[in-house]
Amino acid sequence: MITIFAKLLAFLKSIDAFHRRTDDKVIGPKEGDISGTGRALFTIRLKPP
Amino acid sequence: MTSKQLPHEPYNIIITGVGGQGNVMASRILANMLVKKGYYITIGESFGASQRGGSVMSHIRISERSNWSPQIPKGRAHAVIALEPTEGIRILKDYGNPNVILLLNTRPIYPVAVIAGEIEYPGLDEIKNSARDLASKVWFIGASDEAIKLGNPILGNIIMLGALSGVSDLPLENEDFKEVILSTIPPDQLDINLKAYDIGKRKVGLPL
Repeated sequence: MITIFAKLLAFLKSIDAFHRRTDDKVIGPKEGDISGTGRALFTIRLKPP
Repeated sequence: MTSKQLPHEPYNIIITGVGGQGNVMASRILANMLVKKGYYITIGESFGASQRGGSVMSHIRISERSNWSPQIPKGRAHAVIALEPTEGIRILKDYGNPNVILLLNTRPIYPVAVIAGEIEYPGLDEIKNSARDLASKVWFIGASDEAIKLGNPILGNIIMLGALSGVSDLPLENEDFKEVILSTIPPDQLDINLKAYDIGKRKVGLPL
């Protein structure tokens, strides 16, 4: 069964949300980030074509 | 090259509500509409217990020149879209300023403590008075009620986006909304989403 967290996680990944991004590394969202009790901040960046 | 000069650089919008109201979807649709116009968009999505009715907040920073950091500094929002009334007031207190505009969905979602009888949810009049005190212009929109009439309460977020397109200085055009929403939802949901967007515009007094 797909959990509601998995559904949200899939959506976040589909829009390239990330925690941190350096030149050579991207830390993306994990299910624990959104199912836990704390808060998590994700960033999404879009540029004009 | 952007299509229109922004009233502020960057232009800061906060969409706030509680988990399950379509906060993230609304911020993404708004961002995609604006990126089509040549703007750089940075979204900061703040999650936490969101799927259990906790507060959710999306910071959307729109720029003609570059991507900004994902969090809007306190007191620097230019527009706030509140999908839930008290979440809107809470955000305005921190991120508002004398020039901020507010679009507020009037239907409350009661937190557990209210349902358990531990605290009282403020009355709508009290919320409206606080909103008027904290923002320069306020539009009270029965978005959830209209969405329920359409058959799906989740459309409240689309109604609020339609309302924003009617009152802000941003170039939010119907055609862009149609293109973006089509890439987001199944095609059989297009008509109802367009209808919801138009209802939002009508609610702030714009002709369809």
